[in-house]
Amino acid sequence: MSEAKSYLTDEIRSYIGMETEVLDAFDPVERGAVRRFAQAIMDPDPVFMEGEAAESSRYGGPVAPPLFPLTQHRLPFGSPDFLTERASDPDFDGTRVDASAGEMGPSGKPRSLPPLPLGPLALLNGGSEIELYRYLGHGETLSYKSRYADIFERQTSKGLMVFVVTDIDYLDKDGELVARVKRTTIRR
Amino acid sequence: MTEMTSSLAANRAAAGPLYFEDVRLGEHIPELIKGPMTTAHLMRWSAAMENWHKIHYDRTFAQEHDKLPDLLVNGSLKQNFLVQLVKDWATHHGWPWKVSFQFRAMDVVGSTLTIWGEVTGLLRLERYGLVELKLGIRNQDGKESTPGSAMVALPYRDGPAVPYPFVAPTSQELERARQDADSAVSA
Repeated sequence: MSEAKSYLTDEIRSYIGMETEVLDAFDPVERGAVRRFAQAIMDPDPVFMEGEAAESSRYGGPVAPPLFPLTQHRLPFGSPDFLTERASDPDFDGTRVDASAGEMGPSGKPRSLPPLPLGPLALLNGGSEIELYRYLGHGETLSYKSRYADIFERQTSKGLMVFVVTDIDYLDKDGELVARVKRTTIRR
Repeated sequence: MTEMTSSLAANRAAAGPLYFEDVRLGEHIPELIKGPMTTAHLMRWSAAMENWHKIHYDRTFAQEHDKLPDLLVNGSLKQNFLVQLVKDWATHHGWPWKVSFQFRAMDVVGSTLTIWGEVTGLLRLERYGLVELKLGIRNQDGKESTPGSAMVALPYRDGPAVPYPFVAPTSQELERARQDADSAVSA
């Protein structure tokens, strides 16, 4: 891999700017999911639960933890689902694969971003820039859209790396921004 | 450790809002300690986000198949710790507007993580002040894995509440506040 001069073909570059349609999160914010999430991040903040602290807060009721929306990308029932298909497979490594990636939605935009044709290059989570605008209340609905904002490469001490920057907007039912994430994935 | 976090949050709530005027450049904010991170913690997070990747709970798979040193603490979990650090510090009268970080190194099961922040900038805007921070996650051996930064809005002592939903400053407003901060330093 390290001998490659460039992975950035015209085909790869053509993905920059590609955007999905706005997809509804599978579930409204469910309080059981909020509890599991708050317990898992070990944050006992009382505004995540029903009670006086949440009711008297400026949120006006219990809310989900700040980064809860980021975990709500779930496939709708009935769509091809890798986990359902391989649920009994003892060799399944558990990696989430979106079998419908790149499939077109009614707006003519893909329902989720198609994977880049970078073959066997490893995929690493490089980090994110997160902007928060508000917290989701229990019972609220969420939608999101993603976009390949940039794809570039750098020569590093560990060889040539491709940086894929994906912008994801999380929106409330009025289309107002809840959070915006600029996520960098490293391929090498 | 949960008790420690819990009492920190309770102390903050009891102390009332944190005001912009209370913050000093170079100040270290109260640290958040998470751990030791056991397989139970990693499993609980995997379940909460429905991520079943075996590198977080099947040690044989992680080491033999993916050649990892041990089970990995999920980056997606560590980013929640960074946000909690600034959220708890700001109290619910402030707002953790931006949190950025890079996953530079792995943290493995058994680690005790110290999530820390240091004030690097103070920007005065019209309705609220913005505190710039440098953030990080350090393990029990002093190794840093996740360098980052944050911008947190805090109310002025005699000012209005920080708007909720948050209203971000325009880039012009930010630029002007930076110039003011620079000239205050050089004066």
